[in-house]
Amino acid sequence: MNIVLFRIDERFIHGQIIQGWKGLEYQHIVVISDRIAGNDLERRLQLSGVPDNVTVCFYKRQEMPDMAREQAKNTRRSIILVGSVEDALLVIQTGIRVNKLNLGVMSRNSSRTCVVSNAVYVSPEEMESLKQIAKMGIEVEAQGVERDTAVRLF
Amino acid sequence: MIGIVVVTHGCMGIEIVKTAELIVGKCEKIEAVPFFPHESGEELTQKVRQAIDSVNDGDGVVIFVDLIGGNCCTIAGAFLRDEEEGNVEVISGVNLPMVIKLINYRHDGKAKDVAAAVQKAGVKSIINLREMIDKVGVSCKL
Repeated sequence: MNIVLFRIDERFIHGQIIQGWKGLEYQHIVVISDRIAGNDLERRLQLSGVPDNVTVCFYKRQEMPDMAREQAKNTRRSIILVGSVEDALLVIQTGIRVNKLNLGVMSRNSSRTCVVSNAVYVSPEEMESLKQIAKMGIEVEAQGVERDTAVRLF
Repeated sequence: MIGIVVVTHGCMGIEIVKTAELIVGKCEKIEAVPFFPHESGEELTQKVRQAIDSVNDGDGVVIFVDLIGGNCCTIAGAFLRDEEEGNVEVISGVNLPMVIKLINYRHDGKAKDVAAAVQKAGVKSIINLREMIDKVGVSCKL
């Protein structure tokens, strides 16, 4: 699989993905979300701004092995979007090769005490998981869009 | 790089620029010019003049205005006459998609070359979501 961006983004496909990462010239997006994959309207809404030349696949979390098997053959320049650190770990555990994890949107809540950027907040537990991910040789960076300066965490 | 000026009644243009930067990141050579009720037409002309000069590096400027036929539009439109041919383009009915389109294509030529594509991006983005959702047919995407 040709992964050009592996990203945690609670909003999944939105303006920043469509407009802010154009330079990657991506051709394919994989969305991993129970909420979206399980709802026809949500899926259609996610597709609303996607350019015609970009394909999109939706998977539920339990379908992670299917995702890894099906996407392995895919040679298109691809973005993988997950909604949480936990789900990022699940993707990594399938054996898919990634070398960088981008933190895009992780919104503020009471347990997320570490402020990384204006759109990325991390809880102590999540920070531990990110460290674990970094130990596997994966860089962890917060960056909203290409034009923003990346904040390297690990 | 094509310069961008957004001229609107009130602060709408300032906010459009801020919002566009939220989505695509910080931009240079982009100016918003607000027009307030207490200001005269001459004052607005002055402000637009300054904005054009500050964003034009030789590739020309696209001026977005809010309302066709409004004062911002007629004042910006006057620059079509005053400026050297091709230096300024004016597009009315500004919306976020057309501004973002121009931000993404501003390195690809002169103002007059991209004006049509920018206008089209704005028009194409106006969609009745119910119709669109019903139209997304049997596709591998789903």
